[in-house]
Amino acid sequence: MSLIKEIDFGTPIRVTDKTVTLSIDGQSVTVPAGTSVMAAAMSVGTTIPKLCATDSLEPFGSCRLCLVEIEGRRGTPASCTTPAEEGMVVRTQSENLASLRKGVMELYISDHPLDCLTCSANGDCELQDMAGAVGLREVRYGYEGENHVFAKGRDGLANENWLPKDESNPYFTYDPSKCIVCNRCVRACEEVQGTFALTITGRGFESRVAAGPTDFLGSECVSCGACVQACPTATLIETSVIAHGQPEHSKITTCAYCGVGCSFKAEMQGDRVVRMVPYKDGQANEGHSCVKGRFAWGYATHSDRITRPMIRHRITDPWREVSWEEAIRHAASEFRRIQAQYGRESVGAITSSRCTNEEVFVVQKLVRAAFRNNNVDTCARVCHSPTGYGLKTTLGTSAGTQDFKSVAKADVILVIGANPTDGHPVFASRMKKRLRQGAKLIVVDPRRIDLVKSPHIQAQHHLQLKPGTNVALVNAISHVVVTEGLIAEDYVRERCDLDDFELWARFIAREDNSPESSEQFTGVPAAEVRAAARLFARGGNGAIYYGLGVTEHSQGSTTVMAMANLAMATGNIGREGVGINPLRGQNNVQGSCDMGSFPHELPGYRHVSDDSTRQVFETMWGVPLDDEPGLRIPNMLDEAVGGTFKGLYVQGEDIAQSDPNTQHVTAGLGAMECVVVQDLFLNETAKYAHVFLPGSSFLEKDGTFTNAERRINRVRKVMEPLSGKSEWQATIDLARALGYEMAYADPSEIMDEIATLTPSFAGVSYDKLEKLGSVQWPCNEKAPLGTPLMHVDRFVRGKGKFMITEFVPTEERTGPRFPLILTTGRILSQYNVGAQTRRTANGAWHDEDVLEIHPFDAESRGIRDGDLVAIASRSGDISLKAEVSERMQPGVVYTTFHHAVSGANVITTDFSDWATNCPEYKVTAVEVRRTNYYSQWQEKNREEDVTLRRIQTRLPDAAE
Amino acid sequence: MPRSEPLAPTMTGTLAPDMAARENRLKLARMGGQIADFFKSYPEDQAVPAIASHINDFWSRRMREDFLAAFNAESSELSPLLRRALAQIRPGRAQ
Repeated sequence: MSLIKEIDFGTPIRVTDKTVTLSIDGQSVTVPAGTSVMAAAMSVGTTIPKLCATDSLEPFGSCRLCLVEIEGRRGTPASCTTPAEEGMVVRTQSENLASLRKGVMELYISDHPLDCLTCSANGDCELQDMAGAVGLREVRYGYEGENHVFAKGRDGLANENWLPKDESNPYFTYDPSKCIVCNRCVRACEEVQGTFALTITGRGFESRVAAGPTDFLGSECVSCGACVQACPTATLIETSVIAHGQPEHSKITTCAYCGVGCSFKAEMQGDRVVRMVPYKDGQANEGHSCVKGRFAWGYATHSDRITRPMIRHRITDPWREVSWEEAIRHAASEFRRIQAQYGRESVGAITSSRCTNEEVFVVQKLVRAAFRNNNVDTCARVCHSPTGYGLKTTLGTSAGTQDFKSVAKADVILVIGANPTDGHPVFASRMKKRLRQGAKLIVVDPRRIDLVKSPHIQAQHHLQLKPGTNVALVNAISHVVVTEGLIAEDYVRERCDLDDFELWARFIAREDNSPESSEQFTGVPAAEVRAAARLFARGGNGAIYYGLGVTEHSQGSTTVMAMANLAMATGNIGREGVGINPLRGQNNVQGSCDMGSFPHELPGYRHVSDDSTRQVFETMWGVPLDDEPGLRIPNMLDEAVGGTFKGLYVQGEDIAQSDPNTQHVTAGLGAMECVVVQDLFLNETAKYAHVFLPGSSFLEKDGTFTNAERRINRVRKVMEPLSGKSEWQATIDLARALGYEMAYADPSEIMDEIATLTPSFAGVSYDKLEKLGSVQWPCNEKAPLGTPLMHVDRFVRGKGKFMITEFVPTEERTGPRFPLILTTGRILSQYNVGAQTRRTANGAWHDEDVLEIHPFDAESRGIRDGDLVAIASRSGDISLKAEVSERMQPGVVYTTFHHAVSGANVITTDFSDWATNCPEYKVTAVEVRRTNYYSQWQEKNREEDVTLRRIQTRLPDAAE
Repeated sequence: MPRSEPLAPTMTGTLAPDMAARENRLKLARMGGQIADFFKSYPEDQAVPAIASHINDFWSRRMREDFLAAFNAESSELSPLLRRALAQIRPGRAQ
């Protein structure tokens, strides 16, 4: 195994049909027009020395190292800023060039420390490489002159030019003494990440990289790592490399955080990760990353990891470590006992959206083939189940329509109920790049999210609606489209069901759907809605991106369909730059849905009542399958409280923290007789568990994740499972103990079975993924290389189906007792329930959940910034610190749910989406007041953190 | 290794049977009502089968049976559309 290194062309290779042919050192080279001489040379393997150029950035032309000679041109132009031209004759080496380059390097090195042997970039330093490449042998200027290198001069006095290291960021260090001011970090922050946190202060010899007037941690820096990656020296370098040195081998794998699914190189020393570096050829991220994937992987080896199976009889008993055999046997005998006593349907499972497709597939197979029921659900229930329902109903597939790259062709971007810069940062960087190029932006969100206004980005319209009124607002936009004659008539006539369209058009044209009428619900001025609608319909390629702000409502599915209506009516589905795209929350939430994790659907979204589909599975699996839909998570919990559901196998989910109305969830869990939790940590749900099966991190497994653009990416094992057993192995062991055999030697065999059973996966295999890097489903005979864009010539369901989407206000109402609306969400540095990110240094950015409240609401309640406040709803109450913030609108408060101790879901309610039971996290009526106390629930939870988590002290091994 | 004993119910999460039944009935009625609310803007001849088929496709056998048991005889608290859909809700097959 060796270290994977991508080729650096120095400048981007342009995408165009026109090519030019030139001669470089006598060799003929053909490249796309607009490509630089430098990149053209590299494309045939000719390396031109460079320092300020790297192909993730636009050429800059500052280091003067990449000079070349071009016949017929005077002087020595920089090859990075010179576009290749037809017939050009270029020389990259000559006596003159060698002497010029040596001169440049001599100057650089005269102001650079010569501590190469002890330098943290030793072995990975472009400056060192270039000194070698140009044959630098002496520095005639000496090192005593004015410099940035030494803290003190020879006279013992402080060197005014010298700056100390900035070690404020927990993951990387900035050492100004090693900086060559090539600007790559500053440009990466602008061009790649789009945050503009870095700058060059001063001029000439005074020029310094700076994170604004403060240190890195205190600055706008989002710690995405783009600057670190761009740095050619040790100036910006990972703390882990400083600690451990250079990695010796690497493997390509997929990040286990959000649904963007970035490809990374796991760079290793033996089985220790030294750093995670975004992989340039990864098609989801194309070399970019965020703070979570790039840096927050330390949880994988955190001391809280539970690596041995454990059982206990009562949840108040301490855990007892047992062998894998005993844990599996115990779990199986309990499930069998419960089914014998309470019936076949009294047990079920929840699959994990953080686990691989293969792991999820075997869990749902266990439920259907060994439990013999369909009681399997997944956390998509509480996030994007309305997406599945809504898009399948209208378009025919339960997934987004585009690849991420498509946003680069969008002209008007409509972001609804999503906060990409926090939730999906790497995609947000792509989106911001397009916005800086001039695409227009409409944001629909109750909060003023960063995208509304940030450096070089300004939304044309921020429709700051009241939570719970998405349907009214999207209907109002469509009303304008229909009544002002902005419909893409040819498109609708050709591609959509016209009866449904006419029914819908009559409905949407009704006066009660006009912006003027819906203003009373949404609070958004009608004129603003009209202007936004006209912009979307007339502005060229219109692309819709949405998140949980759409789905997590009692009308979540309705909003998804309302957006699909709008996209169809304006002709915005089926080509690049348009579409309707869910930004999915977890790394494999798309995959877990694809793999048949829903209680009514077999893998590939086929209903369990469909006889022919069931027959295919029955033949392959050798057992009869239940044709009745099973229980969804909320139904399982309801039935547990009701006394008919008694046993649950939870794979890598933490419903006691993540699901709404915590006290109802824990009552349900507490009423069960056997809860099996398979996880990395003793999470909140494990407090109610009787069997704990240690899981493995993404670094410990082979498999695949499917991201929000339907892209199937490989996950590769870089270390052995700490528990000694792969997760899929534990699941098939449990199935075997239940009397059902699954014979797989390797996860690739599970994928082969998936491909056999699921038409949209028919062409997927590990071999193909090895060859192509990744594929987007559907991948089958018709599309052997996968499908970047869906619905290109026709909709998957045949004709697009317009659905009538009447606005029905949620039953959760504000009133005198609960006058404010609470809406929940997340922030950049933490992920979901925080089980992973809380066990990393990401706490530096967010170490507790706070309540954001508008100054007006704070003032009237006597609340100041930092006060402890009690938030009470009809479900329960908790206390958090207040953060007075004008991002909120008056009447709406906001918090995150990343920290288990805060218990944000104690206050959320049982209300849910009409079609899918996806919980209404985004609308809870609350009251907020100052307090001195933590809530009763929080106090009790704090006690139970100890009492329900005890592990029996291990006894010394006795002779068997 | 010691043989595991069967587990006893651990906490008092389970509601008393009559309370549980009432709660369950309310919840199912609310869920059914939400589904009916979505389809109410459709012509009735489309809405009624759509409501029933949504329930048939997504509700478990027991949920449907509980719903029918609770409202087949006395359905006045359900919305008219939902009431009309009752007849098309599929009872569970015998276990």
